[in-house]
Amino acid sequence: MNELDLPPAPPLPAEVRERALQTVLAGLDAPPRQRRPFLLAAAAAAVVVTLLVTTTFALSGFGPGERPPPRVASIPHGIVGWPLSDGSDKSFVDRCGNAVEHSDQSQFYGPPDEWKVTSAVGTGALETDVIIDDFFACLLTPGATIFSENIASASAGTPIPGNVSVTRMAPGKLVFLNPDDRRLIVGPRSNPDKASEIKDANVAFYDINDDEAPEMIQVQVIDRRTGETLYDGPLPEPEDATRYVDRELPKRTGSPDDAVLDACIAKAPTHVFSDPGSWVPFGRHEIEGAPPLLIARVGDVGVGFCELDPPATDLPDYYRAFDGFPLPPLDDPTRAKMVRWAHPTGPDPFAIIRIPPKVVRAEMLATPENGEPRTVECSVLDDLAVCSMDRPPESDNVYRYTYTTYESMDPQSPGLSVE
Amino acid sequence: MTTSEGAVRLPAPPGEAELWAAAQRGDRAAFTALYHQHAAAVWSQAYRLTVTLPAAEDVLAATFLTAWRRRGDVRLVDGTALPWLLTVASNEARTDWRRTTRHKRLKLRVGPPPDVSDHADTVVASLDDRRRLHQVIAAIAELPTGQREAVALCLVAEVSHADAARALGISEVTLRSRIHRARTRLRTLLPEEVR
Repeated sequence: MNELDLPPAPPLPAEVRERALQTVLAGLDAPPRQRRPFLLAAAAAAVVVTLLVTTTFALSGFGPGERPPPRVASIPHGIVGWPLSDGSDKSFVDRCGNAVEHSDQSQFYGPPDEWKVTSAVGTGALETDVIIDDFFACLLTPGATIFSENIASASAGTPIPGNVSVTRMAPGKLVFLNPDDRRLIVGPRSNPDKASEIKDANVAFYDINDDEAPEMIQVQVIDRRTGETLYDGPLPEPEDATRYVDRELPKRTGSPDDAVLDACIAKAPTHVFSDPGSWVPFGRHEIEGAPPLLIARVGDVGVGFCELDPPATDLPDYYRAFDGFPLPPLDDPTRAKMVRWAHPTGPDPFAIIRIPPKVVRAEMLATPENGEPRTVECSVLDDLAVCSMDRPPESDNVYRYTYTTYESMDPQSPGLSVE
Repeated sequence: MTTSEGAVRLPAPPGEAELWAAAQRGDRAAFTALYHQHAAAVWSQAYRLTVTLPAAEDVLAATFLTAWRRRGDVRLVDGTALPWLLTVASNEARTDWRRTTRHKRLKLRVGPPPDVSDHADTVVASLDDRRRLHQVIAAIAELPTGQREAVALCLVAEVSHADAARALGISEVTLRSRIHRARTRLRTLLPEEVR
């Protein structure tokens, strides 16, 4: 009897053997059976939640008024590799496959060209949680690919009774391997209401929330068939996943802003930035009337900011935490490109713009629907311009923003439109 | 021959490669020899996945007709095409199963099915057993193609993982992954049947 308890077949009767053979021989010259062509229905469902901030760019030739001298940063940041991934399953598989093949474990994962992405979720600024074939997990960060052991591995991660195991992918990110499909419930011990069941997956990421120290996480493993609780206790110390550094990123240079940046990143949930050290202080944006900003970079692929003295608001704490995002390349090497319009409805809106290499000065013109237009000077930090409004926008007004860049400090030089 | 895992390690009949080469050139005698060589194993697989003698006979014939048409694609594992034939038989059984299921649904609309016994009744002793078997086969038939082929070879025909992987043209790790996922799926559908 086989595993599925299907019954054994009776011996092939001689008359059936002969009859079937005659059927076969009679059909050898027949044309192939007509088969209905497969109708391949490809359903792509994309749910995109976008916060739209409409900003109008227009040609402007106004001259500069009184303004502070621009700052120019010269921190090296040139690395190759935008985009880190084009967002396709193939790019995820390629990167995971490259990491696995550079390890001494590649024979346990099968050839990457047979892998299929089970899920891929972008998290944080520049990171993607990828699960391959519901077989193992891969975390893609700007500089490294971190992969777990797989569900067929006898020594996968730190074992938990019930044939579950856990691996640490990053300080705030765990992966559970659950090959036997146990009921797996994970959450903070202090708040059982926040515990959640990891469902429909043999391999699952678990993000450690900022109010959950790993040692405070409770894990429950239950046999689905019998209801027996196989484990109910604290999270064992997870083993670290395998890390493959697939690109060299610029390193910090010992700037006094390192500690400022670290403190700011620490205000974000632990799982958002898996590799905080990859963020390098890049420069400060300081203008009168607006909160100063510390700008940080991950080479040529990411930019982020931290408000050093944020205005008092009733916004949540993460408003004051570091925020990072991808840094797109210029579509046109001569024209600036908007990167991020931050806090557009808050008391301190500002824009980060990527600018062409020759730009030395930039301005932002805010034109309200009702009222006089105002011009503010932007900080130029190497290939970025940061432009802050010097006063909060009026909540009952509608603003049109115009950015102008200059390749000369000469006040009479013409500006270049940004569209 | 049985491996330490309990799976059947397929023997390598002498001369099968030559018989397939001859069949590929259109030699019907060679193909008939291949039929006699593998008919019993294919029959066994066909029966397990259809549970009726008439259907198994249909699948047996359909498998070798398909094998003849696709003889240029045959994949030999350790000198034998049996795993490949078992995969073909499994797919034919699924086609037969789904056709029969549609037919049964149609009959249910027009009235109760006639109470006709067949040879299968001598094998499947009770109605409960029959219902259970049909549930198992229906669940297998609904698996994604890759998982279904892996299940048919490894869990039904008990071909070793290594041979099944080679017959399906995938790595053994991939095969194990597919079996694992299929087991999980079957366990959801058939909690009493899948260990």
